[in-house]
Amino acid sequence: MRSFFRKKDVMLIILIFVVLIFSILASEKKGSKVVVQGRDFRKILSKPGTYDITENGRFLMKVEFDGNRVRVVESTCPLKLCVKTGWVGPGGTIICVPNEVIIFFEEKTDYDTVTW
Amino acid sequence: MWPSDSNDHRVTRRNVIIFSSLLLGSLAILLALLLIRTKDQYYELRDFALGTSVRIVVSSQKINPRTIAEAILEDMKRITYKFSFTDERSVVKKINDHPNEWVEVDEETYSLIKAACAFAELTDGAFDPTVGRLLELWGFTGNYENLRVPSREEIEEALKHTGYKNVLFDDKNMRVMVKNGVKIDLGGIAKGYALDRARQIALSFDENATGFVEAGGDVRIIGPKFGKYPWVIGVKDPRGDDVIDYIYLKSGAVATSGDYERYFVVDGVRYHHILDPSTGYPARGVWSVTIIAEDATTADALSTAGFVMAGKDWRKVVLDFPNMGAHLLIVLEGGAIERSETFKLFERE
Repeated sequence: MRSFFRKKDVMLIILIFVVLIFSILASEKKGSKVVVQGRDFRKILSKPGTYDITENGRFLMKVEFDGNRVRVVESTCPLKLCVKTGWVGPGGTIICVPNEVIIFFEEKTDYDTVTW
Repeated sequence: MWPSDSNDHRVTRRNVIIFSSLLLGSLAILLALLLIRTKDQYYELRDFALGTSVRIVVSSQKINPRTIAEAILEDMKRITYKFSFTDERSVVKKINDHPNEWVEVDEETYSLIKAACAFAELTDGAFDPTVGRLLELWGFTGNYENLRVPSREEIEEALKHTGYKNVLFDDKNMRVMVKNGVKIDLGGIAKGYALDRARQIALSFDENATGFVEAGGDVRIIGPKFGKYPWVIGVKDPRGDDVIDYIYLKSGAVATSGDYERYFVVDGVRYHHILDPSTGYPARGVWSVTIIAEDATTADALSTAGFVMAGKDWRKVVLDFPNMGAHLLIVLEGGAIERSETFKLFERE
């Protein structure tokens, strides 16, 4: 009487599952994407770099994205609160009220929203 | 690898195991993906209203959630100009521009100004809707283009024309009057009111609608996540871009007042927009106050009041506020965190 499962079989099944789970995780994990949303435009930043944000040809702000975090380098608004906000990661938001620009990550976080 | 079973074309036990585990695994994965897919039924809208960013996350089995979200946004924009300090269409401006005269207003305006004065009464004036003149003086009105530190004399003068007791109500004819040169500013309560309205609008479309509405860091729950789970809300670190705490809400609202929202720095001193109505200067001693309450109007008004009071005596605030239905977390100057016992109930899932 042999047992139905041998040690090797169990190992094999576990191996298959591990490979499957990893392949799922790999497909799920996309790179960070930043959304810059203004009055009548929506710009998606997926590659690191510094971007000029303009509205109908008018310069609003300069945004730097390093792949993991984003910040406003300069802005035309009076208070510069969006610049003072500094670097923000997934889940964080940068708001420029005078220019009506919202900057946020497309990535999911372990919370739904933030009170501030 | 396994020489004893090297022939792959026979129906061996091993091949059956490999095949069935692959099949089951794939099925499980498909099922999981489908579940994730159905969980993404929330419609999300981000825009600008109430002088800040607004985020509406709503779901409905009955009608297109986009319809609900757009109706909410439209109403928020209406509230923005209706209760603005500077907009030409504002009822508040109309009242302020006609001092010492009875101004007839609609029910919504009457109730909101009355509520604002009730919160002022409740908090001994720590929240005061008549700091309009002081805010003007500091430049925290309109587009914040004239920010400055006023002289002590100017502040003394503005303080003489501050105080919620100078707002008079005529219940019978729904009329409001400001006297002694005070100016109403509903900045500390309008956001909360707009969020409560947003929930009412969502429920008027579909009583079983779920989701939440957020305006400038204040959150009003419409209904639990997927109808049964709490929404997870991070509390912002007042001196960083991370969160310092998590709260779990299936209903109610949360609002935060902080010294980092609207501020300017002169000679290394930070001057923010939450003025202490008794001194005329920005309230000191606190970085932020977060309030959980049944409704957003209460949370909004009391987070402002709590911010003003906590710098003087945080213990009193921690003991008193829960009796008003406000559960709070205070980040004191320097970063020490104090919370009411009742707040801890929301820190667990």
